[in-house]
Amino acid sequence: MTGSPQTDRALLQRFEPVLRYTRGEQFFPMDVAAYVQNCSLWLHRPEKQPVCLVPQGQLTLEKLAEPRTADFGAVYYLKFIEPLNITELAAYALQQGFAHKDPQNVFYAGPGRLARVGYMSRFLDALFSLSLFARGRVPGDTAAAAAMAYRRLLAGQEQYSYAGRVIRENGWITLQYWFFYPFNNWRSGFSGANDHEADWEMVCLYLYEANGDLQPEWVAYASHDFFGDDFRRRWDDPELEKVGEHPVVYVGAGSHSCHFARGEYLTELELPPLAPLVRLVDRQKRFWQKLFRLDASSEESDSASPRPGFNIFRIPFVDYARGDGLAIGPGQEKTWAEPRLLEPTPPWALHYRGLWGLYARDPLSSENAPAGPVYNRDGSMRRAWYDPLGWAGLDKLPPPNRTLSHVLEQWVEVEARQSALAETIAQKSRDLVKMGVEANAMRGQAHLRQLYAAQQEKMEALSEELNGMRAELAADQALLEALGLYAARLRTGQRSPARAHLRHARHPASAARLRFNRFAEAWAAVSIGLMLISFVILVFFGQQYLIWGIVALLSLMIFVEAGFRRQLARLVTSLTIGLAIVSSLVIVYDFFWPIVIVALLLTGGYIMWENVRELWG
Amino acid sequence: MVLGLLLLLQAVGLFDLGLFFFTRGLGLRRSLIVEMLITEPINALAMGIIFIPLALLALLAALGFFRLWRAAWIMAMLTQGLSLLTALLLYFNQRPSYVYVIMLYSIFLVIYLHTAEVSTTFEPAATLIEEEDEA
Repeated sequence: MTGSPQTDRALLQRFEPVLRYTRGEQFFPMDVAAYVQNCSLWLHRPEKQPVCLVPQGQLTLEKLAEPRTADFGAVYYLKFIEPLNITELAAYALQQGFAHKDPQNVFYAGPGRLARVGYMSRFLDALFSLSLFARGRVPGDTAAAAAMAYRRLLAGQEQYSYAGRVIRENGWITLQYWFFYPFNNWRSGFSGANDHEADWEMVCLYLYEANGDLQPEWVAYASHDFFGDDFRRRWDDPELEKVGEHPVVYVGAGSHSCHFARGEYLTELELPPLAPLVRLVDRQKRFWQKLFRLDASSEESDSASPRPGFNIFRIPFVDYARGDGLAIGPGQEKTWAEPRLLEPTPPWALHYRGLWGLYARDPLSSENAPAGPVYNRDGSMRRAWYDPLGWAGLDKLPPPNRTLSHVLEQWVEVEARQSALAETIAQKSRDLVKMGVEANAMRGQAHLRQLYAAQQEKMEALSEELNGMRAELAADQALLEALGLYAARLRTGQRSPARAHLRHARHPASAARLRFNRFAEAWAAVSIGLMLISFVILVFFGQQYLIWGIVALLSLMIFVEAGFRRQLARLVTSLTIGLAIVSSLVIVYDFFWPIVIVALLLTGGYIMWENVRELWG
Repeated sequence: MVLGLLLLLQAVGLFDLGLFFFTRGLGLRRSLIVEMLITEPINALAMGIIFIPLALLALLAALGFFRLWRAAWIMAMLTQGLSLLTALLLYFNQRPSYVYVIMLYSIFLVIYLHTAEVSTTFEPAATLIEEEDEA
């Protein structure tokens, strides 16, 4: 089943999302053609100066799609912004000063922004920010220049656009909405992780045919390269806000990540160099949880969603998706222009594998511009493009209109498998009995010793095989029962809970988390500086107590921080466990052999006790 | 109940230690046991000041377990944490022989406090903030 461009376009428009932004957002989805026309195309070869291939004003989507070759390690990239000169920067600052008077365009960080993240994380965050000087990064005035350039474009033609794609696969009709932003100013505008030119974000709707019409069933929103079940909501999920048939997306300020509910999200990003430490802390946590059976649901998730639980080696940032700014979509302040179709894949999307903005040469990639909708930064294909169902964890689910038939099909298949298995079991059982009879007959016949031994081996193997088959038969029986019950539920129109697939769904910070008092705020603002100053004082005036002083200082900081976060109980528990481990090591170190001897004596005594108890009944 | 008794026993032990050191610090007692306990001259009064409040905390935790207070678990953990910290500090300074007993007893109690049946009854499951977030 394929659709014509007209039907695909109409379908995309029928369900096109409503995007709600946060006040202070400066960049909105635009048409790629207009952006490309304002860009130059560059080639960066390793250890060579970048070369401009097509200057600004001459680049078109057609030119972008032209085939190009390059050596390994070479990167093609677009450049949207030229650095501002001092006059332009001053003009922008002036313009911003006036713009800030418009309350609709002002961003407030809000209460508790600093206190929201932990002390250690703030320290790592500070190091991360300092590392920007060493890493490649988008120059400081680029965001300002990009904002100016974008405003100029908007003044020429105010248009809000998206590119769309309709994919028909496994009974699902997937509507992919790709939103292109000229700039991501999350770091410079909203104290986030990164700035980069160009930004692609995506929203997916999954429909199925019901009674001659199309019915939306699932919606998945892209958020910071995460994917899987946790980023999908069912159409009847109360968390999913809708305007008629249009899902509402709350867009993160600057980052443009997509969220289902309005609010402020704490996003923990993992830096590749810190990944081993992150794993270590996670593993240690899971070890304790398993050891003490504290959390039964601590299994690994197969999704790439952020793991639950705090890890000090992940750097937390706040994603503001308040939805109190501009809204774009049907019935909103601004509406969408006619979508650009991405199916069949246009040459500019398919053939241009380079970056859509400045290549900042950041080894962590967070400041490098992304590639197009089809590709990752390294030129490999995006999963969301080639596997839109798997990207949202839907590859394992049939559409509702096909679920019952799939269940019945599976029921028939399992039943057939069971009958075949039962027959095989019966046959093999008979064989085993025959072998048993033969073995019995061989007993007492000395000349048949070798044959008897071989017969015994065969019998054991067959018996084991039969055991496996019977276990499989029993499991299939249970599966058949489950399938029968499921089919019955489906016939009566019962559905599984809308949120049953969610394991670590992201929620905006609660009111309780945001409710920090002024003292906590002040503490968060000064704590790192205070610690460093105290450290210097200690080094200069109390060197003889340096180690104890540092321990005391850190302890004080950690306890105050934990108090503000209402995590004193957890801190006490963790510290006590740590002290217990150290003490255990001390004891083992000092009394290794006595411990071994006592353990052996106790084990021996226990075995003896058990045996004697069994003897005496 | 068992935990309450164990904590009570710990409280008695810690109180005895504290009392010994305290009285010695005040010069009221010079028993042979005290001489044996202290391998090097230390500030006995300070030790008494540390051990007696610890004993009171253990007593409070024991009472909490008898009365099924929800805060009893964290009080017991705090007692073990402070006991272990004191024992380790003593170990790395004077290494008196009794620190091993304190360590062993506290390690045993930490493990016992983390057994599923105890922790599910008493342990604070998560911070208030997380609970509210989940809601």
